[in-house]
Amino acid sequence: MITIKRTFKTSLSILLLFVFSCTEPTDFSQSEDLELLPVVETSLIFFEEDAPAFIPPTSDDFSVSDRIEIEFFNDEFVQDNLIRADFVFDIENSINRDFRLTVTFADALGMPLEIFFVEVPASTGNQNVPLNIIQTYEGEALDRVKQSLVLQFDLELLSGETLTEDSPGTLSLRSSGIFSLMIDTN
Amino acid sequence: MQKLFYYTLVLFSCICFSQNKQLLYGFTEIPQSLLSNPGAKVNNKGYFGIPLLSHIHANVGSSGVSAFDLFADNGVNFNVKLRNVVDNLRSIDFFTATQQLEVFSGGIQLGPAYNKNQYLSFGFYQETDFISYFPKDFAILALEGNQPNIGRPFEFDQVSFDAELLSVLHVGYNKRVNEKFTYGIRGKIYSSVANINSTRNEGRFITTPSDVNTLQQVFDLDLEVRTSGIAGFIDDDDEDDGDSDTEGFGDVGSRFLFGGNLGLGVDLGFTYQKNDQWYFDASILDFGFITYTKDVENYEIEGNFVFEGIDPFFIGETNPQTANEVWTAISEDFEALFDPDTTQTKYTKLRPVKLNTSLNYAFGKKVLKECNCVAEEGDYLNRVGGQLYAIARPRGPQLALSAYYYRRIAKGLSAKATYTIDPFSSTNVGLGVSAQLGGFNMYLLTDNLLAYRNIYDAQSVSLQLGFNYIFRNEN
Repeated sequence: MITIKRTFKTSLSILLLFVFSCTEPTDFSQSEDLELLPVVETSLIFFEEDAPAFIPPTSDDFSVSDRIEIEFFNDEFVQDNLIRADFVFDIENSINRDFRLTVTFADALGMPLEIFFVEVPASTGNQNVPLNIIQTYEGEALDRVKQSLVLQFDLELLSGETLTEDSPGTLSLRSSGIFSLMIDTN
Repeated sequence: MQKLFYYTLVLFSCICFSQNKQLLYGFTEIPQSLLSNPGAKVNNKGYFGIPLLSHIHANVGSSGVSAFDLFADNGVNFNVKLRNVVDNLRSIDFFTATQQLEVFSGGIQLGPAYNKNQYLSFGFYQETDFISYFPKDFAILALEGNQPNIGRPFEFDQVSFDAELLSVLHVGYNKRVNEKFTYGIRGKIYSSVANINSTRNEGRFITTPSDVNTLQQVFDLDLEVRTSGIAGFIDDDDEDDGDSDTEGFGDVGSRFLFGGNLGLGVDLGFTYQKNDQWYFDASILDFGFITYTKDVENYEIEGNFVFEGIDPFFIGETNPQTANEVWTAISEDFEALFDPDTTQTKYTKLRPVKLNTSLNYAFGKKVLKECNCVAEEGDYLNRVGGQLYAIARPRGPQLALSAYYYRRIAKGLSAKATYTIDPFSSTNVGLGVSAQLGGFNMYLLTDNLLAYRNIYDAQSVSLQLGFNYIFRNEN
């Protein structure tokens, strides 16, 4: 009889332990506040050319252009979560001429949505002139960038002394895109 | 993606298990202790488990984080808490899950009437086993991105997980050779219902300064996910897909009953009784394998990719393509890299082998009221000891060390308390009770009692319970 009583008491104690196991205040709905803010940086365009490469084939001014068809901004994830885009250009010019780089975000028909210019000053005496340009897009401007499907690059040699096959100097450009994301549960 | 992340987070925070059964091990009043050491000393004539109720085991925990760390309602921003959790967790921290449900079991004493020194036991149980390590590098990548981590490699070997649903049919033989030595062996047939594992990943993603551009992104990937018994379910859900890779691989019910991917295993154990009071025992469990041949679908990604940007404008010998042609080629290469090769190559996987060992000291015999003297006959009422448990896991063994105190409180009622140091906690106090009413036996074993003060702050919680009918020895 004593055994049964003890068994009952012990079993009850263990049961009570479970029943009255405590919890301190927790709130699992907090996970709805989840907000990730990763910043992704990726390479963009680059080139390095000596001065003779910029000799115009005709008497016209020198200019070159190239374009990339991009679906990146159209991606649903990017559309929803990209909150800022920075385009960083590191340029070194040791050619005694001004350059202008034009970057155009265009729609499928080539209509410009956003344009920005990178003015590269001429070198003096072929000394290297480093230049760091950051073009930032947020808000409505970023919304226009997000609609773009074509990224167009135009590089122009601006007026100045004539370049020859013997002209010294180099123009180099390196660039990256820094994309700030805000990923939340909404 | 947000939802996936959210659910993964909740899953990782809440469902985490381990396999250590420090309370059951050596608790020989409970017949199921033979499953943790087939060479344990048996002290009954036979038993049968109450079907589906004889052994229910569930155990939740994680080695580095509790649900309370993340979800405490303490006014701290959830993202700050998440950041702290990620900072505190290491890539060797893990989340594991094991659940077992015994369908039936039984045992019977064998041998000549004057010396019934052998015991045959058998049973059938279902088991779920899950482990995932914490891929810290990729948690950091999700939180911060690569921009603040230029030069830091994100290592894919941190991505390691394995999940298995299986049934086990087993038959064990136990023999008391003499008063000092008892051994046992148990053969097992595994029938895997479903398996998914990814434990052999290598490679890295890194962003570094480049010679030609500001940065370069380098992907060096050697990744593999192996599945069995899962692709068929996905195909079944797709009505348009009449393809039947799963032909010959039956429904879940038949897979439990040896229609699954089969394997073999063995448990070995012994007990050495040095003298009246000291004994030593050890066991090795699930030394075996499963060969996966049915409904296998593996996914492999292997290759390198380096992106340094696009060189536009100056088309020539060194740069023969337009920017768009280069970009298109890069995009295609990148997509191809992440397009997994699907194979049906069969594979074999070892079961997670476990080792138990303990050193034990019994003391304190019953005091008889009639004479106020110690009873010469009968067992000692108390026992203390140390137990070591180890389990082989994908990224190395996991260990747990326990000290215990056992007490036979009354005839038919005994209890065991354990203090365990393991990767989950260094203050894990467990308590188990086995009660015998007539032939009816019930037991309840639970871990981490201190955590019951705030259950959400527990990194592991374990529960085992069951009901048996035991034919007791007269003595």
